[in-house]
Amino acid sequence: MAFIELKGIDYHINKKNKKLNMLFENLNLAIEGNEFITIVGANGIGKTTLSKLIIGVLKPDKGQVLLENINIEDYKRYEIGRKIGYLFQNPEIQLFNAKIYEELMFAYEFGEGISDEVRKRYDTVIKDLSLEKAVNTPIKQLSQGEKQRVAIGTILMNNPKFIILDEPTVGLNQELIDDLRVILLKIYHKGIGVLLISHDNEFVKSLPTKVLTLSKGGRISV
Amino acid sequence: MFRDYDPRVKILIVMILTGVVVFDNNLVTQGLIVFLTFILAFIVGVNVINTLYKMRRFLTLLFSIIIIQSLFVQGGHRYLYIGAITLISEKGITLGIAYVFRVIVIIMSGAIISTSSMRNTMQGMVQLKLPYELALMTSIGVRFLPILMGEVRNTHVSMELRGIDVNELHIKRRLELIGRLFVPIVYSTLYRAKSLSESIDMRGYIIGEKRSSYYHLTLRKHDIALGVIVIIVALVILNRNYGGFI
Repeated sequence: MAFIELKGIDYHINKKNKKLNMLFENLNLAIEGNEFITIVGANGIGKTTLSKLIIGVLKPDKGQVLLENINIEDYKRYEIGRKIGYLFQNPEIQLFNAKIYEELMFAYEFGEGISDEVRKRYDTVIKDLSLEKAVNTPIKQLSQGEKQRVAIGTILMNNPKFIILDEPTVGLNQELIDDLRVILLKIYHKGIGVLLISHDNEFVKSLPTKVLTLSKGGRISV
Repeated sequence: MFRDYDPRVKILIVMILTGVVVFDNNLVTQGLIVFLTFILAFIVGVNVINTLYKMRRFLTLLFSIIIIQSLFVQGGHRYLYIGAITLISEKGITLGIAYVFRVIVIIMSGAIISTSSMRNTMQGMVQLKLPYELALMTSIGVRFLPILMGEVRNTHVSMELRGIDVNELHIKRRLELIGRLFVPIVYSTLYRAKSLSESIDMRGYIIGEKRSSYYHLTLRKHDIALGVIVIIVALVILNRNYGGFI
């Protein structure tokens, strides 16, 4: 049983004129929970749309998205978030707080509360993401790379089984891209599955990932 | 009937409809203006049924406004009361309905304007000699609204994906949570506005400079006919209320 499965997905950008705006037609994809997969493809081919279909933010016009063999539409958004972490292209939009501690504890502050186990996880996440020096700096003053790491940290605090990263190298310099590579490998080696959406060929080549190419109409080739 | 009307005629229609419905306090006149709005919207090509269907989400809000108006504004016949406390009065209900009529006309006016492309509407505003800044602001607003809405949606989704069950939260905590969302939304809005103003400056934009355009709108017979009909109908409606000038 695949962790994520897309079965016969049709998706149109403009619902009114379906013939002209068909993005995916009969798209099929199965992803195992411990896989490291990268989806590459030309600009506007539908990479981000595909990732948003997987997390249930967008609904297919036809077909089904299954998460652990259950239709994604049967999950509440917060239930999906506890299984799959999603890093947006612009990490700014997923940071709501002034400090890193508040940001990483956000879900627990409004959820089950901050236990000792959660505090331990916080320490581990800060260490894994090399954010020790930044913890006292206001988030607004952090660099783009640090903000991105904080956003990844918020995902890891949820202990997800799988994470999706949408174009994470956009706006990063080579040094920050190298740091991101190290972080992704750490995450993968902890047994968390990764789906990377990217058009940065150099970055993708440097990772131990299965590369899938998304082409016009939603055709996927290895 | 279903021609592509000149944006200047649409601007005229919207100015007349909103002007009359906002400044006139007679419920019957406002009702007639709402009726006229629907007919004109239909003529210029608005999918009236679809627009009304989209407005269904605001129905609860509109009915709540009628009730709240009725609670705070009292006078005339008392329809519902507990002892000396009046819950629904004639004057309150009248004002509430008038408010709803105004909201309907304003929403439908937006739908009427949106039937022209933004380029045409801007050109119409320029040819009407309205300040260029007004046309520019409208254009920028319309162009960037979908982008900002997209960012608001993404922020909301990212909050839900944190694994927070919003429905389980107490109303006070829920409001606190919504308050937190404003930080990234306001930040990204200001950031985008700043980038946009820098980009406009870089293109050499100067307020008040005269601009020329190859593109020119020409009024056709059906545009003039619709404009004249709207003015006459609006005058007739106002005449029955204020009387004597026709």
